[in-house]
Amino acid sequence: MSTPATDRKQTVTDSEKCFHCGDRCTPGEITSSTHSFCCTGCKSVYELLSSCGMDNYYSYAENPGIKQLKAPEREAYAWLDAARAAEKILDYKSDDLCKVSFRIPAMHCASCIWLIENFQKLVPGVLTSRVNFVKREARFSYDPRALSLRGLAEQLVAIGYEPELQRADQGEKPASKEARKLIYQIGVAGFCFGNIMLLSLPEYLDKTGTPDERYRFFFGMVNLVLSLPVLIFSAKDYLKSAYTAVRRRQINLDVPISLGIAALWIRSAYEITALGGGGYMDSLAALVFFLLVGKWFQQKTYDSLSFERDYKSYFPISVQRIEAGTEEACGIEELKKGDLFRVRSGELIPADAVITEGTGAIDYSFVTGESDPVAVSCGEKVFAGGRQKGASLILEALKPVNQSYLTQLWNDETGEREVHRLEAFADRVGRKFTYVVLLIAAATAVYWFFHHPPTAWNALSAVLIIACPCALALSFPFAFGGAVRYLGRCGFYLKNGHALGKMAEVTDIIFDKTGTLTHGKSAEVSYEGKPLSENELAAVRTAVSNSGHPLSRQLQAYLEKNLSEPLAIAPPYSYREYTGMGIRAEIGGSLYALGKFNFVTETSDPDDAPAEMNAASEVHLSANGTYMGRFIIKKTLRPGTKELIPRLKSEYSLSLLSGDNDASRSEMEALFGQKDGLHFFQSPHDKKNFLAGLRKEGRVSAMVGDGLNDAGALEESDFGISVADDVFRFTPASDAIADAQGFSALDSRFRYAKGILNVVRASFVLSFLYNGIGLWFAVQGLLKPVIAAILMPISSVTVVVFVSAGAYFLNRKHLETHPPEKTDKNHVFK
Amino acid sequence: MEALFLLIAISLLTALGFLGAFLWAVRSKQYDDDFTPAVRMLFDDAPAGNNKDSEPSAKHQVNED
Repeated sequence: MSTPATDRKQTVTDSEKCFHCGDRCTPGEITSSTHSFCCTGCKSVYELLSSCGMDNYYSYAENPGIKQLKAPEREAYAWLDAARAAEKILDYKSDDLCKVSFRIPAMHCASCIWLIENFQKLVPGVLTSRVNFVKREARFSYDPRALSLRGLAEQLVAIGYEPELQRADQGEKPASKEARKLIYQIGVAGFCFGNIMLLSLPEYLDKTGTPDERYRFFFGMVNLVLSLPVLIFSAKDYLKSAYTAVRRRQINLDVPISLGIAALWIRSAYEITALGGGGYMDSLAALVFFLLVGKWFQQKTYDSLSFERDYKSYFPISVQRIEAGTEEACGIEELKKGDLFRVRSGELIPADAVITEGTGAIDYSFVTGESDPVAVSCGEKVFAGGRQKGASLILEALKPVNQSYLTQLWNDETGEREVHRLEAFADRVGRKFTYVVLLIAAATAVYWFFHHPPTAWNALSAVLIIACPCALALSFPFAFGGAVRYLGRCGFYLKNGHALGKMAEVTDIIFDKTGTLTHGKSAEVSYEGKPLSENELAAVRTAVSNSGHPLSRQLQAYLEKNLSEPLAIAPPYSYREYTGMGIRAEIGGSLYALGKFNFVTETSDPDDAPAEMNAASEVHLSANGTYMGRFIIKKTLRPGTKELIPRLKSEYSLSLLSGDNDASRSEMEALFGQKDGLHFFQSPHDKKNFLAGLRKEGRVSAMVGDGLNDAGALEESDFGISVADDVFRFTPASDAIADAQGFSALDSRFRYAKGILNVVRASFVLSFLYNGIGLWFAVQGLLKPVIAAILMPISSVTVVVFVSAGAYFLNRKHLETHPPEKTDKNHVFK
Repeated sequence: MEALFLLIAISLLTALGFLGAFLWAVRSKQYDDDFTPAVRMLFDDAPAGNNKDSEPSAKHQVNED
């Protein structure tokens, strides 16, 4: 009953690796020749390759294979058979030759390149294949008489290299054009730089060696001509960006650079033409050349450090799939077109689907913002992202789950984008700093103009260039990007980088009890009251099977075990769930109410209530208005909670907000080691008010809830964490989803977030040190603009490397309690 | 010393030729992927016969764009 992701985490302690993909596996369980495999998918790929004599695949890199997480879907590429669809994708088409480019993100090592480039040996009909590893692209040419486009795509999927289809008419990606332009600019600047340097040589000789005026003027003019492409073409981007900024009465980092370039060029041109001097064209060309090389180097570094959020690792959540009459949880990525699955009250619909049983009341507020439920009857279509409000539905999937769509839903920044105050600080300081730099530069120029005029120009340019606080702008994206990825790898999924900033500032942590602190699954259930008939028990089961509430889930599991013969679940005649209260359902002609005592009996007199049990939740039952009895659900705490709470307590102020009765008060008091701050009988509204109150006091709260009953509280809190077991329910209102497996290590996640923020602060200091020391030398005229141009990108790169390394080492320190999973293949090579 | 003018003109022209060659190389996408070829050259050659058809058309592909 757990997701594939957690399965992998738990499996065998054995160190034997799957020969194909390197995942852990039990040796001897699935074998072929002398090798062991983790799954039949890996084994079959191995057998396929080895039968074609392509064993070499395993010799260029260790365990190069890609685990088949989902069964290859035969129908997924059927649309490629349509001529019009294929035409859009093909680069070239004739009767006996077709060419196509696929992006294959799964490529990660030399073996992958080898396999794809030798694809023609594996698949008849393929003529050539050529890999561009940097872009993760492969170009195929094939014979359309022997192989269809669909066949090609399916063959790639079969060996684990799922292609991403892109339309040929979209043309080249602008990114690669941009990169090529930079190389042109570097080439031109380098060419001019070299020649100007040679022609400026006489200027460096002492006065006795000065050539006669004719040559001097000639060299100067050639330099002037050579400087034009540097100014007009190579430095274009800096000048343009600065010009646009100034016109909009803004200031950006390119303004001082451009001023430096302009100052050097104008002064030199004036000297050459009017004074017959040598000018500083060599400095100018070198400056631009090194600026561009630095930019290119920066780009390279960022590309290898930057991350793509791996959507596959997102959402450790499963869906209740119905197969041959039995329900079982499967990972949402396994859901295929045509599968039947159940969505209970309060759960999100993972994929576009058609209702085959039940009536929908779908709340599309996450998609459209409209929260009034839309009535959908049997046979009609429902869309991914909606939340079912009524009784449970059985749906037939029309599409496989589109994880990126769901992630988008979650990540959708509604309106205002919250910027962490440190980041806002960086922005502000960056801008102010630029003004300061301009002032210092002007002062330096004026000073040198009166004391030693030849130094003035170089000093001015050096100041303008060295002082750029560009590193400031970079530390945030890199620190937060890395952190989001590392946290995701250990089952803590952050909505975005900004959420991390909030997380680091949390002062209060507020827990929900049921389904959060207590375990969702292993509960002891007992019943006391009037004896219930089989039919009544079946009716109760029907009622609770419609609800996603943790107590309902536990009750259903209990009834399922104890009913002598599992009666088919008939849909209720009517069904309604009252948040925080209970369920009313009409089944088989009787009206059943389940939930709180007051709700079930419809009295407000608590005296009638039977004495409450310790450390248990109760679900009361009434049939047609008569009180029947109660189910007592003894809950166990999640493993590790007892150790987690004291650890958190030393750093945060903790509270508990429970919607249940205070039966477990003494247990919770023992757990939290405090009497204050434990609140019971809280309605969703109370919870929200409590959090709003904290905010007024200036506290920063983190709400830890189950994401279903606490949606309002999660939204109200500064940092909402929903703990996900294995059911498809989370709320887009939360800032983080925590895989319940890692719940006991919650404190380390918080510590990590704090650490990251400290790394960012340290990077600010580092960046200012660079600028400060550089300025010190520049104002004294000791720093050549060329050296400044080399130092500038180096400072940016060190800051970026510093924060990335910080994120990595903190990850080693705080997060890596389990051995890391083999998910991040992209870093094998790059 | 008059030869200096000529020499400089010639040297600049030669350098321009190299610049042109560089720009051509960038334009013909030789700088687009600076990683795969380095790996590719390390692959063992496939047994003769199989590789025949891939060579000429690989060239063909580069020229075409």
